[in-house]
Amino acid sequence: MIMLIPVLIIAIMIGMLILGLLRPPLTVIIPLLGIYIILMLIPYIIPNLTINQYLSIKYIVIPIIGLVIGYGMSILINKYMSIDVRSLFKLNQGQKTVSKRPRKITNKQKSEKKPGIKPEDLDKIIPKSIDDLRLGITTNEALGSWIEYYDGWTDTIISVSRRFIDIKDSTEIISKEALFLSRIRQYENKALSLGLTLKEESAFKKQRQRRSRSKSNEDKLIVYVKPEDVTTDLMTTAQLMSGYVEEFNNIVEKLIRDKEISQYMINSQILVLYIDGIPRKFVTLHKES
Amino acid sequence: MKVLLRFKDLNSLVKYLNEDLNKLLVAKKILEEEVNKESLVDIIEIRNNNVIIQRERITEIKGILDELDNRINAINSLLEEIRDEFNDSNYAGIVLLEFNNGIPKRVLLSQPLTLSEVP
Repeated sequence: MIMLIPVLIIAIMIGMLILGLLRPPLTVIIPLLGIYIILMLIPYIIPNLTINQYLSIKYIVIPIIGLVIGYGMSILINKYMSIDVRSLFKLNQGQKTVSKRPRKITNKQKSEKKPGIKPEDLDKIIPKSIDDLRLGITTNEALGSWIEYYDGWTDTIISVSRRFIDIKDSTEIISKEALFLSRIRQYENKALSLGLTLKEESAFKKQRQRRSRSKSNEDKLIVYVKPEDVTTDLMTTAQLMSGYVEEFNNIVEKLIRDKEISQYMINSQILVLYIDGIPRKFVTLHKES
Repeated sequence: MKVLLRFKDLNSLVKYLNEDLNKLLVAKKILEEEVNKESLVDIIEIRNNNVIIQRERITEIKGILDELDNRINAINSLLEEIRDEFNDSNYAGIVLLEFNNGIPKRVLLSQPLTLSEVP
């Protein structure tokens, strides 16, 4: 029990160091520090409680030092060794963002939608929500929900695998591009010192001007963007899609290997139900021929 | 939520959209027929690596028809605008299809950056 608290403080320091390396936004850091400070202040709030000598105001500094060292190291490594430390923790970060983002966005959507709902819309919204729940559609929609029809199991497998490979390839390219574009500033500096500059091709600019005159920016379905401007979207896609590709991959593996499924499916016509972009349900039709 | 799919040029995007549109139209037709018949179907679901088979009425999944319609409309308008803008000519560069809350909403076109001399 006496040894527990120094060990805990060291663990917290190491945790904060790693957190610093990831450079999370202040909204993550401040609540964590807050909780820690409250813990350390327990002896002052309840003086009668003699928990341990290590619970003391001066140990508040330890996790802050850890955080500062981590943060500093992360920036220095990024600057001098051109390694984005955060991308080394890609898995952790990816999971974090995946689990957080949908919630954030639903809140935003809710707050945007709320004032606009009319009573008569509710008649439509409620059955739709029930349908969505029944189908298992979540807010994490990725590529959306839809169905496809196939005459037989072989066609189904081929098509599902093809879609998987397309999406996987696309995600891989996007990850690479996102990484490249995120470092574009560094490349630009290096290029400038060699007397070169980074440029888009001129044909592209002309088209973009022509477009912007003919239609307003918002309702356009085809949009010309500077490569730097899609960087954030590419990064988010790369993060969101990595978990998605993994899940899709598991399903494809299962479909190909599982004997029970293929025996069951053989000779039947199939509706494939993609939910949130993943083929989750397979509906076999019993057609009287 | 936005996610992107990357295509090597505009032609491959158009091909992809056309294929998807055909698949959706066929599936919609079949599903509508089955819903009208209220036929019994077996639904095989893969959840947490387990296979679950259930016999249900097709009407259980007819909610997806709305999603299908949204998707078909979205793809149609995308194809139309691409046709207006490019008139069958190709565009090579960064071609991205943007999904907004699961519906293909916009096409983003961009250029790979190239090095040239400082003017």
